[in-house]
Amino acid sequence: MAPKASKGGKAAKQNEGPTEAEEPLQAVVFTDSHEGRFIPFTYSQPRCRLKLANTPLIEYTLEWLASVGVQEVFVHTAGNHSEQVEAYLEQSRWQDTFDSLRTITSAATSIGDAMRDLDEKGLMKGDFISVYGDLVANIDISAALSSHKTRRLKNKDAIMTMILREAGDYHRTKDQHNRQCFVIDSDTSRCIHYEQVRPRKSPRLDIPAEVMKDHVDIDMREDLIDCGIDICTPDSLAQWSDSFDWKRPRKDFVHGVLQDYETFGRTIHTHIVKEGYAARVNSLRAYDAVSKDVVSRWTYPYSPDMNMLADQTYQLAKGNVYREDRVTLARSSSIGRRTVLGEGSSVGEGSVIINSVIGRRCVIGKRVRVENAYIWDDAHIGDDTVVETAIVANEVSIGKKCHVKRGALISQGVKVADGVVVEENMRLAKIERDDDDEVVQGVTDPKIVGEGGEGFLIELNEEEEEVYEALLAGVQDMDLVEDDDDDSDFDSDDEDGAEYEHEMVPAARSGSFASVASNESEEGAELKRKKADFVRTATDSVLDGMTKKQNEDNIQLELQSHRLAENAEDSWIREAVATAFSRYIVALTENEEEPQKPKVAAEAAIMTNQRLITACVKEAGEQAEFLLFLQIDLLHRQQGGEVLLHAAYVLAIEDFVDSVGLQEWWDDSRSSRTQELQDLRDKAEGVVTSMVAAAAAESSEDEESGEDEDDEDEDDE
Amino acid sequence: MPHATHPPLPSLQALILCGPGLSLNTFTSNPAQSPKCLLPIANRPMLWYPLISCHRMGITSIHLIIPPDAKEALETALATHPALTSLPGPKPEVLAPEGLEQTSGTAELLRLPEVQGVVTRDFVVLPCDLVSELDGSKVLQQWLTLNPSSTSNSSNSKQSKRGGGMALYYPTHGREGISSESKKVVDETDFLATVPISLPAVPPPAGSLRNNVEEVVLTMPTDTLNDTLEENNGSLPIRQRLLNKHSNVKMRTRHRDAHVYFFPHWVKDFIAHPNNSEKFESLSEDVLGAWAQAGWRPSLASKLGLDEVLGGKRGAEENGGEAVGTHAAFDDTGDGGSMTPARFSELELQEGEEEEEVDVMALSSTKVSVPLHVKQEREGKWFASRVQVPATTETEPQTKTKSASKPVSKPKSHVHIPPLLAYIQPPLPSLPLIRRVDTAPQLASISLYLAKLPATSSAEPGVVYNALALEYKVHPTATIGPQSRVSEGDSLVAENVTIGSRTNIKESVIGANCEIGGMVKLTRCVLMEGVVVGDGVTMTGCIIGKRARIEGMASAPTSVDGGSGKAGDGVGDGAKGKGKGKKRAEDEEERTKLTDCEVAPFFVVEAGTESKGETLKGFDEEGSLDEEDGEDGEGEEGEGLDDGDGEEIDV
Repeated sequence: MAPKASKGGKAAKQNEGPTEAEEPLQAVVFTDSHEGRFIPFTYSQPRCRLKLANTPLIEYTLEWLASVGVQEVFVHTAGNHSEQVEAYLEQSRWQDTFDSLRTITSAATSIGDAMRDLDEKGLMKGDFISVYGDLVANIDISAALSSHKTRRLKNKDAIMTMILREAGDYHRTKDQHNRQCFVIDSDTSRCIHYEQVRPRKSPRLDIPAEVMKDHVDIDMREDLIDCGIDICTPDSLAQWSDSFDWKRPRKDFVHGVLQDYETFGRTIHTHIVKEGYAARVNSLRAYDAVSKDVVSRWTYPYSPDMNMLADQTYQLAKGNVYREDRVTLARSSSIGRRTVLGEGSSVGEGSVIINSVIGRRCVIGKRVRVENAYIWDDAHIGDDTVVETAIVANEVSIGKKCHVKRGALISQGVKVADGVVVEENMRLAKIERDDDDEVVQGVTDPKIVGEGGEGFLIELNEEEEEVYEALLAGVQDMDLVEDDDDDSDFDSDDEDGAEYEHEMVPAARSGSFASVASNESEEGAELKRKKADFVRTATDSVLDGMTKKQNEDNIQLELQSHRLAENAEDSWIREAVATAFSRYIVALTENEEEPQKPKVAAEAAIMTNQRLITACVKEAGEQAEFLLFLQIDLLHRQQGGEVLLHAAYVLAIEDFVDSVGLQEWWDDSRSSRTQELQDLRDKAEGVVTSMVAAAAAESSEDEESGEDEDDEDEDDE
Repeated sequence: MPHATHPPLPSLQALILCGPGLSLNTFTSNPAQSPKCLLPIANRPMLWYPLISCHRMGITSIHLIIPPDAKEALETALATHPALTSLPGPKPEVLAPEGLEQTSGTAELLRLPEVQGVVTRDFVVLPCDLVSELDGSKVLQQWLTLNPSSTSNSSNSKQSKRGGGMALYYPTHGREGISSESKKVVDETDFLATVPISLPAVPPPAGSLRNNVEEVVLTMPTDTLNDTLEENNGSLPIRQRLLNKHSNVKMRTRHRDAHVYFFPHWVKDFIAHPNNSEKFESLSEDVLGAWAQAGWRPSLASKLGLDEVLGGKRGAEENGGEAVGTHAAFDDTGDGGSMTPARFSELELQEGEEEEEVDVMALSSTKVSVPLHVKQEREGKWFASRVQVPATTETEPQTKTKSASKPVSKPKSHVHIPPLLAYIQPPLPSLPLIRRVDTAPQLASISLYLAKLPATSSAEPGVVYNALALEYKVHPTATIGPQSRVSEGDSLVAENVTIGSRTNIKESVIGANCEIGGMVKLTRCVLMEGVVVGDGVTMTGCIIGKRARIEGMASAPTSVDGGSGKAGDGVGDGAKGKGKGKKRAEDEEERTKLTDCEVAPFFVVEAGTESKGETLKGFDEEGSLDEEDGEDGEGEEGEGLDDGDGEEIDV
């Protein structure tokens, strides 16, 4: 099959220039997503370097990529630990294994941004594999690659193949709360409908009529694990670039492409793998589950005794016990099943270790009981201590007679004094991130770690949570519900919009970037989708109206009808209007025939359509929100900063926004959430400071004008 | 040897529903006289096909259920029609319940007291229009092995487990000549959603249907589906429940329910349950649709009274009441040894401790036995289950939370809803044909398909003949005139047919006692019994009802005496004319030419009629042509021969 396909590839290639068949197989690895889910461990380390069964996560991913024949790898990193990832890869053996291994660092805040970045850089020569840097897999994808290729030859519009693992009704790494439902035509394996199903939230799944009419055999699958392994094409990158607001590969990309099928005819296919292992370590729960699978050899050959790293010396003994050289075990100690012991570790008299992973150079005292725990390198555990299902990170020292209860997370360098009980689901850390995202030493809280201990209890603040592509597996109603569920505190990312339905889960959750402006993380996914759809259509309609220079009242009328039809909220309207404005202004400045200066463009756009703004923007909060939407949309646009400056200026001068609104926007943490956003915002600093200063000088006048504006607005409505 | 592997299953009884045949109304407008089930398919009454299916399954107790007004016609046919009298085994019983009308729904029919009284055991329901090459015993075999009552754990016997049902779906697409024949008329289809049942650890033997047996979770006719789609703004709502319970649902849009149902005995009570008498009208749509959904909608199950029916209370009473009947059946065969496990559960209550429920699955040395309840709780497919240790700390809380969050998996009523299984035939042309013949195009295409099967009389040793093959392609009693051609590969000619000279018959089925004149051209036609076709008639793709008369050239020439001869000449000239470039247009006009027409029984198509795609139908269908038939037939035959010779010389 494969040779035939490549032959065909050559033949077809002649028609359209450079041969794909000779191109090396490329892959993109996205790292550093979901950092928030691994707090506090990710304060000092990138997630892909966290060790799973004593081997860094990214090793598994790269190992798998090498095994499927990838020759060129691009590791895409963003976020706080890019340098660390880069440094690690530079000295790794992978430099020799792959023909090329490059690290791309970008400021992307979503997979969508990263994809657009890739497209811009033009690194991808042909079809490539896209995976996440937390993938542990041993599946064979050669069949998928060849069928993808044959499909591409027949139909250029088959832009992507998703590789999905069949998992049966239940799988430990499968998200039980946000199940993905793939509707697949079984003859062509084309994905014809995609939906995320949330038990009890969305009581029914609506299969569109076209699906029923056009397809003979339809599979409705909810038993597939989506590990984010996609075979992408340059065309799919182009799709990403065409739709600048897509962020997530499933919810936005797949959904969007499927929606536009009627218009563009682009198709996404699936390849269902029935054998082998594939899972993403995208939550602490998954960490636990995958660790167990690795130790139990489900991921064979990627088990500890493969000794992936050159200096590893694991040997497998009975009962899935893996031991490196120079492990010291006291005679009366007992090592139970499914245990991994790293080099140089020692276990004292009478200690029991079962079902656990112990890193290197750990010292386990006497009469210690370690059960279902993950103890990383250089940890110290005092005599008579009990560690239950917990993670004890590097260089942690736990005193004597302590009790680390289930679900505790003890981060790097923490010292727990003797006799302390670490309660369930506590997270202890020694460092934290301050408001500037800098790592700082935290203040030790003796109440928690005892006298002489180091560390403190961390409460997550929502800002810590990732802004990255939120993905598939969220919280799972799985075996460790009581353990790792709440402590891990994974965000309910947007992609799955995870509603934790488990009683024990605390309320903390984040909005990921997409919901930045509206804090809607608690809304059902359905509402979100509705919102996204609404914003998209409304933006298009407003933009269309402006481009055609329609009367602003007409545009407003149309917008209003959209709004009534969809029962849209005000903020959606604002988002749509702001996005439309930004796009219109940008379009004016980029007009090929007569490009306008941002200043002129902003003025022209705003002044001719001012009623649109006045209708939906009144109070300070709304003004701030409007500016925020504007800013977000201008991100990554040419002259975005300029446009923002002038737009803000015009808005301020014409009293669409007042100083309070400006200030509020300025102070809103969301407007400076990432460096890029902040850079963008800084461009408009002049306007804000001058306006605020002017307002301070003549505050009374300002208030009046504010009131006036309110009145006007009401009239308009 | 088939009989070695499939012992007779005396305990099963068959009900063949002889309905009115609404879509075949050209030929069944008088159902009392010519009921649908007696329409010929490839020269055999339609009824023959389900009957032979029953016989192949080893079912001997067959009831034909027919409205009273058509009873007589049916009984006459059973007693006289050679195809029906030649069937092996005991005669089927005709049951014509009072109150059964031609328009009654199939579920209503089963509720009638007469039918309820007759059903004493597990039963099979067949339609009268089923043409199936598939060996029904294979389906039956699957039903028996997969029937949960035979797989249930003996320890669970308190929770009385009842058997499930089995349906049969065939693809309406993927078969050339039959599927695509009627592009105008789209085949009726049923929407079907199924879930796979766990595959056995040992792959089923080649030829087993096991791989295509699935559990039905939703079924409805495509029309109903379209209505649903319309109601819901163009989308089909699928309940979460379904996906909760079954995460891999397959939907098919171009299969059709063959209306063959293997039902355990309790289904009879289910249909007759007071809760359902209002709701259930049609067997396929209402009963099956409800049953399929009850499997994953516990609330629906109790609404339908399934818990009562299955709970055993009612069952016990009835078993007591019908003990005699069941015993009779038991004695009838005198072959207790061949009783299937499915039967034992039924008999258990009467026979007391004598018979123990046999768990066939447990006895199997190859099957990894997974207790059914485990599967129900969605634990059947543990992935990485080896890691689930220590079991006490991980597995248990997990199952607890699971069952807490998913009450679906534990129906409150504690009644296990037996699954409704279905054999779903894949759309491969190599597989045995299954079709329901309920439209005229279907009737034609199936007849023509059967006509292509090699005849059993052309005995070649070692060749396995199709079970539906006829004995003769051209029956020995048929007379064919000189220079006439019947393409034997794809045509059938029945008893006592006379065919004139220079007649060409291709891909056609000619019914018994037909008289076909000279110079006739028949292509892809189906003629039912006693059709008279005059000279020079050209017909393509026509279906002619019994005793219809298609007049040919006979009326054109002047005298009646020499009519035949002259007609022959005329035709001869006509043929020449045609050959020479249609000189004689007048004659051409006189010709009868029918294309894609349906002609009703007893209808007379006048000479010179030309029509295409029409249904020719009159009001006077009672006309008797009996006497003429015989005489004319002989006369024409003779003349045809003579003329044929003469013409040959001419040419």
